[in-house]
Amino acid sequence: MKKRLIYSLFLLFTLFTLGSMLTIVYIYRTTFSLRTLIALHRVEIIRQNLVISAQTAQTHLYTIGTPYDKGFDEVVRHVVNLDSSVHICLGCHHTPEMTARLTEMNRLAEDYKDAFSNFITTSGNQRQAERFRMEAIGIGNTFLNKSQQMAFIANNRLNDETLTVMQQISNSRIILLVTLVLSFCIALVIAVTMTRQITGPVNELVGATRHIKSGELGYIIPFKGKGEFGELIDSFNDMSLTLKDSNEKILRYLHNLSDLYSITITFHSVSSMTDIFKELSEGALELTGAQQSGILLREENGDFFSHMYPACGIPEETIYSMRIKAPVIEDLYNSSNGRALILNDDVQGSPTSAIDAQLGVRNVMFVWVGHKGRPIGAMRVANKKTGDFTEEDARLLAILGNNFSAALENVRLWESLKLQMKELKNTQEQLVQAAKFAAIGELASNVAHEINNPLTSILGYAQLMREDEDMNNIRRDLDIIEKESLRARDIVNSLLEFARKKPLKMGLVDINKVLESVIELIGVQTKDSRIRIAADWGNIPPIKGDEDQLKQVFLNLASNAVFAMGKSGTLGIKTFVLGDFVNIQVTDTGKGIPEELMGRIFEPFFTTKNEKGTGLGLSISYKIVQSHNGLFEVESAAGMGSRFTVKLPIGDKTLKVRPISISPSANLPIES
Amino acid sequence: MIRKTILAFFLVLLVTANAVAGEKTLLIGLVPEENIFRLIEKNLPLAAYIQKKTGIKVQFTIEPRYGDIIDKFKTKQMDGAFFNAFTGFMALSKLGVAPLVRPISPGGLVTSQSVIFVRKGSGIRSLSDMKGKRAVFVDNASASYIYLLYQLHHLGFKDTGQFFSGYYFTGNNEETIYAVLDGMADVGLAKSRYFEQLAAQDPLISEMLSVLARSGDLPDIVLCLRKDFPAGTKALLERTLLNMRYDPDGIQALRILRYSGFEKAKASDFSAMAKLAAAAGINISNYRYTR
Ligand SMILES: Nc1ncnc2c1ncn2[C@@H]1O[C@H](COP(=O)(O)OP(=O)(O)O)[C@@H](O)[C@H]1O
Ligand SMILES: [Mg+2]
Repeated sequence: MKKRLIYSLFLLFTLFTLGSMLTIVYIYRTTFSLRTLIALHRVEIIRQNLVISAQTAQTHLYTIGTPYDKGFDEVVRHVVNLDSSVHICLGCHHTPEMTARLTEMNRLAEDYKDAFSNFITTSGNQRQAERFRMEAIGIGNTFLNKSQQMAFIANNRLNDETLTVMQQISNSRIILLVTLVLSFCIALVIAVTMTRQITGPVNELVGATRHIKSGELGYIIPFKGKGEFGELIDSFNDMSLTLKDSNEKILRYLHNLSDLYSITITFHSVSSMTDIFKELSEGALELTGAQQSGILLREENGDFFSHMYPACGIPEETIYSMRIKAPVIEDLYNSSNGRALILNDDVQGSPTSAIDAQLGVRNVMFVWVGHKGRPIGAMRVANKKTGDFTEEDARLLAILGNNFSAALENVRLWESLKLQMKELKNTQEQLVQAAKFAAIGELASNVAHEINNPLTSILGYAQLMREDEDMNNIRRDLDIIEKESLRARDIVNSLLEFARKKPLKMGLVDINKVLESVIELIGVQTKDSRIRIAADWGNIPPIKGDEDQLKQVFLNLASNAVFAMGKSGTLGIKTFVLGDFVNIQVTDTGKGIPEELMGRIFEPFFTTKNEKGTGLGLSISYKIVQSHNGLFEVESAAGMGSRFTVKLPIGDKTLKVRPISISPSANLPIES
Repeated sequence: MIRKTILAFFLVLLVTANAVAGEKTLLIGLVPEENIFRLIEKNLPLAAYIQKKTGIKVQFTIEPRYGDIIDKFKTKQMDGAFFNAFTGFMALSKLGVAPLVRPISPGGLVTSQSVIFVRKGSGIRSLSDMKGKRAVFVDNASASYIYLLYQLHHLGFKDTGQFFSGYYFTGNNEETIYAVLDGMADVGLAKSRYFEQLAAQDPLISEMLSVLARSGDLPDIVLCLRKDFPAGTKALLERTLLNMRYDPDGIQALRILRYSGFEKAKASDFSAMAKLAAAAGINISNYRYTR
């Protein structure tokens, strides 16, 4: 094809070049002839000039009475022109005949000049002058005659030359036309043949690709091409077949994969063992096209592998009697390096051969489920509906097995998670209670002498009453006793209230009120110190939460603050709304938290207070705030004080950011 | 005052423009010493050379009679002319022309003489023998004719017509020589330059003709310019013509004229001619120089 194309183009090119060359030659020749023609015309012009000059001169000779008049210069010019015209003609290349004629003309011109000049200048001899005049007239006439003859010859020549040129022009036109037509025809023939030879196979190919595009994979082009197209068609057919094969393979894989996927996906969504095994067995049937399937697992004591859950395609009574000794399976597993056991024609080697016969097993396959290098189970499929079990079947089952072991693990993990969660919950509750007790303990030591005070005054007044007889005094003492007693009772009540283990009870909480009761409790603690309490109540909405738990949080924050300040300082308590949160800020001017400890203060049992602290306060507080979907913010600088901010969401806002934000801060309110 | 200045300025401009325009084409007169057509043809290369060198176009004009150049110099608005000795001498006094250059012949000659020649079989041996014979002359304004008058004057004759039995003018040196050779006349007068040229070409001339008398040296041909010719152009023209003989193109044009170059001409070149005319008893103011 390629060769043919090149040959054709070469032929076309040669023809075109030949034609062009011929045309060029003709054009060249024509141009040459044209040049001659132009030269001839030019000569004719010269000749005509000459004739005009001669005629003018002759006219003068005939007409002028005196040999000279006004137009003398003009006559002189014409004669000179005449002469120079002859000279110009002589200067060109001519035929010998023409040269002879021109030489004759030249001689005549010279004689003419002599006679003419003499006629003009002679005076005092009329006869002589007249003789010159007649001579000049005679020569002039001869000259004109000759030039006329030459004109005739020249005209003939001109005619001939013109005819030649015309002929040449028409010749070159014909050649050009023939070349063009011929080139066109040949090009057309080449184009048509080529197109036929190319488009035929190309159309076939295009048609074939359409077939393939429309899904008709494996379409074979019936056309038998030659040369490159033959090869192209052959390789196209090959490609088509390969495409068909691969497509079928891919489809098969896809089918298997989707089966596998649908099977395994159910594993992870079911959490009951029975369900998993049911899915697994059915999946194995579907994937391999077997009639029986089941999973044998290692029994509790580890001696046997047996069906512990339902299997498919095996009668109910046989399922649980199928047991394999553990060493048999271990041997098979280890000797094959975990590879599946496939028995297609001879089922003698099957570890379940006894029952196999009973179940009419033709072929059987065992795929091992291993965990940490040990077989933990075996998937058994038997009696493939179509033909033999293949490695492919084994591979698919192995994938199923892997998923199965993962699912098994999931179930196991889920169960243990549930257990752990339960334990954790218990522990947590204990911790909260413990923290509470600890807090009470802390408070108790501080509060003890508070109760002691009213008791002391009660005792004192009681003794006074015993000796006093004035009823008025007694009544006044009784009033005091009553008042002090009530105070003591309140203190004890509030302690009891706090210490009591109560279930979580959610309700709308007025935070400001809670904080007021916290201040009341703390106030008792700070009565004798120079600690000032500065409260700044914001206009805040009620919060959904457990009032007691929140109180515990703020109480802990406040008592931490008081402890950090020691004998003097300011405890700031402030509430305000910022964004979607109610903010509760507890500020102190105490010793602050060193930067390196900042990350640890929320750890349970982390304390810097030795036996005076439990290290539970902040960790419990954190848990409580978290359970209220709130946030904790801590800012502190050693020696300057700390600011703890609790942010509780207004309404049903859920947590979006991490619940603690800790930052060392330099701009804390400092009271000196 | 200002108006006058402006006017003067424009006048100057006009004159200059005219002068520049006038310089474009020079009209140069020729005296028909030989065949008028050949004379013009011979001079055309010179014109071409001048134009090539200076940009000035040169045109030639010729009159059938020598003396016409004096009469028509002004009417034809000639810028100058190649005068022969006598017309030059007349132009100097009548027109006040200024001599520019004159040619040098290959022999180094810048002068020519007038010769009186006779046919050998005519029996004329002395000038007085010429009496009653037929004569032929070039022109009554040619130097040779003045020389004849001088000789006749010496012989005691005033009228050419009385002395010769018949005479006529050919207006052409060569033709005059051939007229004597052909027997049209017994006596002829011509410029020695032509006589010698023809004699060199044609042995018949020395064979058949003999020179009877010869004048002293007279200027051959002199290019004179009109007296008001612009000085700049004049200098340019003079320089070009004087340097012609050093330029291959110039030499080419000179060769056709049978010159070997040009040399500077001056008014005193005509003093020999003036002397001859005076000796011939010619009064220049009333001499009939046209025929
Ligand atoms: N306002 C505060 N100023 C300085 N240190 C504080 C402050 N609040 C808490 N801490 C530090 O955090 C530790 C943990 O506090 P917490 O969990 O309440 O336990 P405890 O109060 O029993 O030590 C404290 O021991 C103390 O070092
Ligand atoms: Mg604490």
